[in-house]
Amino acid sequence: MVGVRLSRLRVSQGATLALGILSAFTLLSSCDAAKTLNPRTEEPILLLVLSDSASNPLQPQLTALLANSGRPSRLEYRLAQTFRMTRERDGAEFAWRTSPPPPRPGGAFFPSTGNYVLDERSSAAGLGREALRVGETYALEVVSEGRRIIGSARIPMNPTLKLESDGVVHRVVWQRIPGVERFLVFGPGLDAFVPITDTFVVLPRQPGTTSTVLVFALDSSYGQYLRDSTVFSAGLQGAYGVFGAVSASSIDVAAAGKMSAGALQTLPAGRSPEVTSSNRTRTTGARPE
Amino acid sequence: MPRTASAQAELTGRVTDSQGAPIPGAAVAECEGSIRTYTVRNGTFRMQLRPGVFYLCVRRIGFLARRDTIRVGARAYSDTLHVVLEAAANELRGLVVTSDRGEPMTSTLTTATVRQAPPLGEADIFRTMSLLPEVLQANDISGRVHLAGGASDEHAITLDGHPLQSPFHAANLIGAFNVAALDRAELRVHHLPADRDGHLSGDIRLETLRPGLKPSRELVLTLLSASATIAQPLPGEVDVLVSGRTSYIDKVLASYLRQSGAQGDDLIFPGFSDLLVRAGRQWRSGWHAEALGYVTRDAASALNVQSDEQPARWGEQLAGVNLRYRAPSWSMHALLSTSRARAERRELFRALAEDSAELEDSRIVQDWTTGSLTLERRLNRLQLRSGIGFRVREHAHRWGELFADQLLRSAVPPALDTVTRQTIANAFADGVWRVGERWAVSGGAHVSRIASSWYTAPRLQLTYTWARPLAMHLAFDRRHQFDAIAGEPLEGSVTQPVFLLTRPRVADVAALSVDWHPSAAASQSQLRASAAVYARAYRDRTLAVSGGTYGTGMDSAGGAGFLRIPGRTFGAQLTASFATPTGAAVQLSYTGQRASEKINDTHLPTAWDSPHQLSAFTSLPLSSAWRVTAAAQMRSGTAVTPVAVRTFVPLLDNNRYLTRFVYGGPRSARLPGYARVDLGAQYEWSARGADWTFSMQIVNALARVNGLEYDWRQYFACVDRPEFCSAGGAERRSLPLLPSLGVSVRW
Repeated sequence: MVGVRLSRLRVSQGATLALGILSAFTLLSSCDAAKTLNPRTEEPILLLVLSDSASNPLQPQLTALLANSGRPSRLEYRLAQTFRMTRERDGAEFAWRTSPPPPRPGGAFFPSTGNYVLDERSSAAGLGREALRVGETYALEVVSEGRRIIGSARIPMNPTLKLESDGVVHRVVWQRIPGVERFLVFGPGLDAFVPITDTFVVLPRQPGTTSTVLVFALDSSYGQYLRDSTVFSAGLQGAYGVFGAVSASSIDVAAAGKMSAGALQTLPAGRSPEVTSSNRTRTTGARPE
Repeated sequence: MPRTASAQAELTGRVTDSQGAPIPGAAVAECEGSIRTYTVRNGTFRMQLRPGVFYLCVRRIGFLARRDTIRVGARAYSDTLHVVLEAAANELRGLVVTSDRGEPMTSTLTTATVRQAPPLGEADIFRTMSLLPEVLQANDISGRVHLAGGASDEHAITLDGHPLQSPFHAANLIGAFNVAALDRAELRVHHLPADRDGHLSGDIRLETLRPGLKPSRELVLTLLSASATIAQPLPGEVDVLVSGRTSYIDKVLASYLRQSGAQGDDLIFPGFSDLLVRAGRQWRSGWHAEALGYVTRDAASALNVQSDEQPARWGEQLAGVNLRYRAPSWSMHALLSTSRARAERRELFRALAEDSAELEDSRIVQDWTTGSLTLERRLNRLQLRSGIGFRVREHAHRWGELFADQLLRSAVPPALDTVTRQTIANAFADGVWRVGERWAVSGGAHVSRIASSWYTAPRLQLTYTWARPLAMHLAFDRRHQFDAIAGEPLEGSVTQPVFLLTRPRVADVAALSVDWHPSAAASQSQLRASAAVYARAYRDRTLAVSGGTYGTGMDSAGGAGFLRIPGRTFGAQLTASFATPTGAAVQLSYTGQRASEKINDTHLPTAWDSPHQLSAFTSLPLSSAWRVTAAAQMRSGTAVTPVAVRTFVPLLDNNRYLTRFVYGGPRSARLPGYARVDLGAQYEWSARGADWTFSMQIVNALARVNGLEYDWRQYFACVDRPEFCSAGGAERRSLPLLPSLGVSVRW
């Protein structure tokens, strides 16, 4: 019987066996059983959001990013054999040109800038950014390393901003715009890229210093791409990314002297999922929702 | 031990240890027959025998099993046997798995062995359980376990037969049991008798400590808590067990943080307490009555609670009675219990636009009432059982978004306010028939009726004994479960809301096991081994839909949304243990297993699937006072969904970008393998008439970082810059290196 044959074993042998097993565990546990998850793919990425000069006067140039998906930890810029954007109305072509980003050893985790540029002024080479107009539709065709990317975008109408007040609540309102479902609102203390579907924002109750409220109208492609993290391609075919458009308007309003985060809020009452989720915070203030 | 007894008579006897002390709870059985009984508190037993020659087996955990030949003559008269069991020091001092109690396909974990394993702060029966084959703790910051590839809500936990809802402390970190008050845990994974249904994976039966003739008392002090246990026999065949435990680490931490001026309102460390009281009485006529009360309470510490607020607290209350009658050839068992699980919090919110405040009460209250009546008839080679029972449950669920996010941490609906009720009536019948000397056949069925529908769960088990230590068991079960939680909760969660189903989850279970369990004298070394292969087909499993979104084909259960999906598990396990006469012991077990579920016509690994699992336990006496123990666990990493592509989101100026990951095949990659080594040392001495034990432990002694989930941004940053990355990109991590100390005294 097995038990009888092993009866001569004593503590030292048991200890040796146990230590041997533990050593094996120690060695094994130092090995990483999983292979590194670092896929590399050659899928193209194109990011381009159109806006007219009036919407962003501080940045006269418009840039686009064309890149390889590459590795998730390193960005790889990509060159196009064709980078052509035309105005749908008359087929007029815009003068996009390459703008090689500054080389970085080993690449970069984030793109430092776009690698295609549309200058402000029109030239013999084609139209410039100054030719972009709200209400116009533009077509894009990019051919890069055998991949053809096409897309279409229409610059929405500018929101018309008005200041309303009932003596207690002050708010900025604007109109619904065809082709626009979401807006981004910027103001003192509110600089979050969270699109809303409301057409108003509530201002602080006690007017004080003057500040500017900026409202962007997002076309459906960019609005969807910005809001929904499961959308990987909007407004274009043949690549990851987005080809969209925005327009913007601003208004100077009297705001509270001391504005803090959350002072400029959209109205509650569940008018949209975005608003419902952002109209409450805990009194202790330690936990943003 | 006398070798001759008479026929057709009531055989009485008594079982003692080598010192003459009675051994209660020892199983006395005809080895190849169906006749079985247990010794009572003074170690005596009685049983009916038939004419002929047969083997009598006597077993008790902590003692070496006896097997003796009994010759029964034709003339009937009574005889008295005296069986002396030799203490099996090896079993109590080293092995994690003791042998079964004579019931096939059952693993038994005694609290004596739980005390040997390096604990997390203090001895915990659930944490030691993860060293058993087929038992997986996919997230070691949560005490929840997975049996044979099942989800963590697919097994029952009972205390002396009474069902428990959520017996965990410290946000599921440790079990809510003072180990000193327990005798053992029995795991039934591959086969359930017909009287048990309602869970797909199996059940964990916890049995409370049974006092002997002498009272026993124990005080334990660890870094986490202090506990006291008294097991006291009283005159008139009455026995009482009282055990309580309370933590103080939470109070110390909260006091320190307040004095240091810390801010914040989240959990610091949840304090906990539990109390178990059991009183029983036995009558010579064969009746035995017992009442059990069990209360757990957890409460979060918070630093800046406002006057109207109530920090989170949760816990469970159980009250139950057991009534048994045992006659020589038949027995009866009635059980009635009621339990309530609670979790609640009150928080103050300010609605920004209205500049007003409102209180939000979140509360989970789940009431269960369970009853059953079982009759058993023992014939010559046949043992028959039948019974009826009921389960009535009422669940009130009310919570808001923050409560769901911060304390429930599973795929529950973000807000809910419902009350659901469920009534199930059930009946069962089964029998064990021993055919010749080698075969035993067990078969039966459990029938449940709910909402005018009947569900039948047949059970079958075959046992074949080749030679004395070698036996094979084959089992087929169908199982139903009439409730579900909303997916696997993350660590740090509290009592999970259980959603009641009208259409059950269904699983078919098949298993084949081979056991080699030779008996050996105390002077001999002992090698034991077992192996099993098993397969499970989940014909109708639930997949919680995050946020309670409904769609075509979904079930709505108490406000939660569940998809019904099939799944499967298959696996094999091999366990071997070796113990020397001096108390050195080693156990190794390996489980290879795949657990998958079919979603959108594709079989995906479950979130807790771990194909390979290896565990080792060793206990070595260095001297008469010192003992060192070590436990090691290794397993494959669980399945995760990898990133296939990274793309970007342009912000409005076209020169700032956010990262957006495009995910690859669902659960098509795995976390790195898990490995943990725990070390412990114990020093024992006697002083002032008591036995003292000082223990010290280090959990995760190699300080290995075991990730529970990737932070993909951090992960890919680590791939390129490993010099700045210590955790391999893990977003959530398993247990860190944790030292602890404790002292206990027993008298």
